[in-house]
Amino acid sequence: MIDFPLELGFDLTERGAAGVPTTTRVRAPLRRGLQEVEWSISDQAGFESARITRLCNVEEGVAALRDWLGRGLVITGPEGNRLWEGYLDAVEVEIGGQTRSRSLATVANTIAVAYEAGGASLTYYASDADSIARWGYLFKRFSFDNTTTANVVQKAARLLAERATPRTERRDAAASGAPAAGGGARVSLTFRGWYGTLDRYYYGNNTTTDKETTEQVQDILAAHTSTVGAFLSSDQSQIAASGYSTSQYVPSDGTHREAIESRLAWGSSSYAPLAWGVYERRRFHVAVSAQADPATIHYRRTVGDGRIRSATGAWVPWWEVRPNRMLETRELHDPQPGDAIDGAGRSYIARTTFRASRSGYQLDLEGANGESLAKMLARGASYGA
Amino acid sequence: MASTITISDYTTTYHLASSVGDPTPGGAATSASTTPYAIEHGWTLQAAPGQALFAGATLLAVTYERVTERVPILVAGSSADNLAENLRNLRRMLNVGVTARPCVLSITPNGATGAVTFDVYRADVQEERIGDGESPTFRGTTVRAVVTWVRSAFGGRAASGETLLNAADLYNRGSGTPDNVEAYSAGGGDLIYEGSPLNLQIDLQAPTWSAPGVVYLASIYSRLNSTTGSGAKTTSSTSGGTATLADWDVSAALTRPALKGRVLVLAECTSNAEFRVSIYGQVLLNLIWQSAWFQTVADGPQRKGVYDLGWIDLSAIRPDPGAGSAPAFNMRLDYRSTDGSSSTVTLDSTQFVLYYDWATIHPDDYNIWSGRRLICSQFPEQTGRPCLPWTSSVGLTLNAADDLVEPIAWRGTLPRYYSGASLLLTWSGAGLYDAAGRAVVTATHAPLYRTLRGAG
Repeated sequence: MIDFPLELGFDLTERGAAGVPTTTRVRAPLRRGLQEVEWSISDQAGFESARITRLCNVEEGVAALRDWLGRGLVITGPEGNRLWEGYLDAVEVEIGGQTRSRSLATVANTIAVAYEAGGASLTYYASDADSIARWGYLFKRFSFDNTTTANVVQKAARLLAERATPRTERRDAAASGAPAAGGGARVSLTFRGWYGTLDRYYYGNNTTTDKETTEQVQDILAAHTSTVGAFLSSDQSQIAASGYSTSQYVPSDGTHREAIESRLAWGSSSYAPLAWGVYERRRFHVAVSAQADPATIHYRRTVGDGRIRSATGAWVPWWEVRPNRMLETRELHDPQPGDAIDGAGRSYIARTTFRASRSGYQLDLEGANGESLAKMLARGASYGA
Repeated sequence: MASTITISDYTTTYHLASSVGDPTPGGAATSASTTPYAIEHGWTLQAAPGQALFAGATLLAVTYERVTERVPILVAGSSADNLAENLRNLRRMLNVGVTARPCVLSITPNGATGAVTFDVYRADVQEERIGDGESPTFRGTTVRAVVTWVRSAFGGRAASGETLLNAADLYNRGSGTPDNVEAYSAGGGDLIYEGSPLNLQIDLQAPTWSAPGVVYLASIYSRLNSTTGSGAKTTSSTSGGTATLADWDVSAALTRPALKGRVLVLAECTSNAEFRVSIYGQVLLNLIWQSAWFQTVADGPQRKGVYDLGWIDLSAIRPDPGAGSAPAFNMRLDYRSTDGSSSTVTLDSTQFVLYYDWATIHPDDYNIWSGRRLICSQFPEQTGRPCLPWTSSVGLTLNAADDLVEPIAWRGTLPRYYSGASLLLTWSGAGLYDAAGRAVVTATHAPLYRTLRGAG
């Protein structure tokens, strides 16, 4: 009898010092006035992005805009299992035709400025300790053409002054006619998966000796925790060994994420691609991609039937469908053995996007070559404007 | 006896059905015999239409929205000023819910036993002249008005629900008397096959409630407890071994596709042992479902407790050829060593559950132990207030003095009432498992009505 067709749970937790997640629950009635919930999960980020849209009173909307950035979220399903996890990256509130928004994506409190001076390529680092203490490291890169060190110092200080705290963006609409009687707000909460915290700081390694790539990933994750904070779990039991070794050298102008992805891009010792991401309980996962064994089917569909079923025939609710899986549509499957990975009958799922609203559910499945807007946004930009 | 239709703001009650037939000009709205209001007899309460979500031919969910309906009503005034006052009082009462609790609409048809009550969230009242009579804008004193109100999708009883479990003893064990399951008494209302709201009051008793690690609550169709395959399973193999568990009759799921399956295992392991449950078809032994590998929680030695291995979809089951018409699952326990050295899984018992709703509470963050009262509330039980479902259910713990300790959260779906269902309550404690762990449970149910209640 509920007016939202899916029994979801929302566990919101406080942001701790330096933005690190805590276990302190926040009592927030996210189910009340719920209009739409959407999340995406990908094979190269894990829990990627999520959005919750709800109606509430003005006070709740203002409080969300002012206080909620950085809070952690766990979404659970009707059977109690975890469906998505991440942190609040942006809040947008619409009240009576006026829209206000704040986002951590606009914040830069740790910056690297690359410049040329006297014929040399240099990098200047600057940071804002107060902002770091509140939001954690939020790293951005900038570059300037030939200039002087003094100019760069001046420019960096000005950038920090502008960007060290979340900016409030405004969008107001005014039109003729009497405005509707107000009283309520429409709030849109955009979350990023914890994988996005791997872009928060720069990382480099001058060691050139070879080491297994997944062991290097473990080292990079440990360095991330040591530098940025315990955003990710120290449990690395879900990182499967790649079997392939390469140089540990990483140039120091990249982030932890870029360093990790450059290691994992080598694949396994069996030349198989890898899939990775941050999943339940903020654990980092690495496994051989399902593309390496396309004959192993994880999900099945029948033409004309919207349901997804497991390989054993059990119904998989749309909100539990995961990427890094092979999907087969029986009626379209080429009976000839040795099919290509992505044939008419089977395809690889690189990203899932699930959406629930008052009118029903929708699940979008993307293949490895789909480059959606959600994917690009979820990557985040570590480059400054 | 005339029909009784009233609206109330919890302080004042107005009658909208006159016991003398016509509305009384200048009369008091607080009495049925003198009320200036009279709903036209042709009006019929509208049932909330359900919105069904389907996947193919499978019904997934039904939701109900609030009802907006038009109600024609005669309003009589002794003068123009009295008419305006009566219209104003009606508008005020019906819109009290904009800032306070919603106005309560109560309806008892002539000859019926019980009143059904609704929440009215807001309303518009538009007066018009009767036939060729005088317009109230000019001189009329008795008018026909159209009330357009927005009310709750369902009606309910007022103040309190019906008791389906009355201080029932539940023990944290799958066998014995009592055990961890108690059948609900028969409930009323229109939604007994769709799931209707329950309030649970769980009083935690000595001796063994001590900050349990997890509490499981469910409305179930059946629970099979079995000790088949129990005992210690020792292996140093990382491939491990397999033990046969009891067969699980799931034929009920053929006629009740909304049922889901769950396996609870009472076990403990050494720190290097893992186990999982695999489900096969009875005759063909094809793999139907397999849980993830599981380790019991470390609490030196590995803590013995009840562990939930996850939900099982039953929609794809069908009778195995050669097994007759009654499908059953062949259950197996797989166990292995994680490091190649000797490991042991000690299985005590397994519970196979067919259920409707399942919720878990992880009270490690909360203060749940002996002497506490755990409240899971899906509807209010307050004087005069309709027993209608909350937008969001409420959970909290109280101490022995009924003082609030703190709110709690859960995962999954809080148990609702279904005809013929039972409540399952089980938990894993912070110490070693104790089969004498006990709770006293009271469950009240809010019957919901699409329109009329009668004697139900």
